[in-house]
Amino acid sequence: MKKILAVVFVLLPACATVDYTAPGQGTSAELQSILAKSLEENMKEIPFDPEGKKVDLQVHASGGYQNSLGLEGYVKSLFREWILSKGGKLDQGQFQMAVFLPVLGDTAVRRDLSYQYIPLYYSEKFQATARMIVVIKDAEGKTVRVWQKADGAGLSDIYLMRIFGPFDIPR
Amino acid sequence: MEIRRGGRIVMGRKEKALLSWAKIIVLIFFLVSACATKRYWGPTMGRSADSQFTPADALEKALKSASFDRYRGKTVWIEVYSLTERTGEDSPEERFLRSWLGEKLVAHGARLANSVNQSEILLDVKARVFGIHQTRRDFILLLYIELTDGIVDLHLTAYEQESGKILHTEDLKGEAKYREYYILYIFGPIKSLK
Repeated sequence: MKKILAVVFVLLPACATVDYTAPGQGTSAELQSILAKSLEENMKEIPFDPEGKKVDLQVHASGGYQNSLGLEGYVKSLFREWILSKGGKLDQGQFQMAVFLPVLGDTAVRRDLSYQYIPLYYSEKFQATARMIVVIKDAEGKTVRVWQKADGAGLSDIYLMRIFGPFDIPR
Repeated sequence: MEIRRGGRIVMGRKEKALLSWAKIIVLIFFLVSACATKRYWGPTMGRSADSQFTPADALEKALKSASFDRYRGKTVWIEVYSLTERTGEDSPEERFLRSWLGEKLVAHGARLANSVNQSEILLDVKARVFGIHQTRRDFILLLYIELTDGIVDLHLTAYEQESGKILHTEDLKGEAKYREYYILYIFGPIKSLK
């Protein structure tokens, strides 16, 4: 019993904390990871087959920190690879694909559960929100298809008694 | 209990034990008040050193498995995209990645093109992750640890510049784990990098 009490005495004041002090640490690795995953997941269901088609690609994003140039470049690079890997070509004259990203960001939620000042559960949860709208027009400028998807990846770091962990629970 | 021996006062076993405990308690009180804490005030201190060298080490690990020999004798143009913060067109991570990859390619016998139109191969690099994840662990009174994980996850796509055809794709991942331990909140840091 004394040994158990001694272990409890050592364990209880333990404390694990996820630190994030932007901007000096740069963009958090976990944040980048869930944003990249969200974009890739959203792209899986685009109802357009670019095989054998010439596609003029444009990307418009409103997110990103300080400016959206990085995000637009990243998404354009993703779509370029997607179009070419499906047998399409990046060129003008046949189809125009406009990709809009009105939302790409994340929220972070911290949860602490304690009983009588005893910390039992602590978690940091990142949740990305990604809304992607793809507008496809033909050579005459007529809208052929409008498709949108809003799916975001998430990631949780869970600590039990603020000492055991982190247990990663990706979604 | 005091014992007199030849006019001298000699402490008994109990008193000696009490004195030892008193010394230990004083030492504990002295040590308990110690507090080592790693400080960082952004942004005036610039990007912290830990935040810089851990992704750089992770990048080096990620590039170990890269097959750059396929670019030998070719003229390559590198484009890097990431989701990192920026004030201008390129982020610091993108500039560093482009330069470092350029050096690696040249070391493997490739040539760097002056413009995209002069290149034979367009190497498109998407940095899904190029950054750090930091955690602090406190085992109060005994141990304090700062954990910094540098994480790199790259997706490389090589295009034939003229036709736009995809030549190959490659995923490169690396992680560098840096730990600083402070014992009793005062002795340290004991550093470890894996």
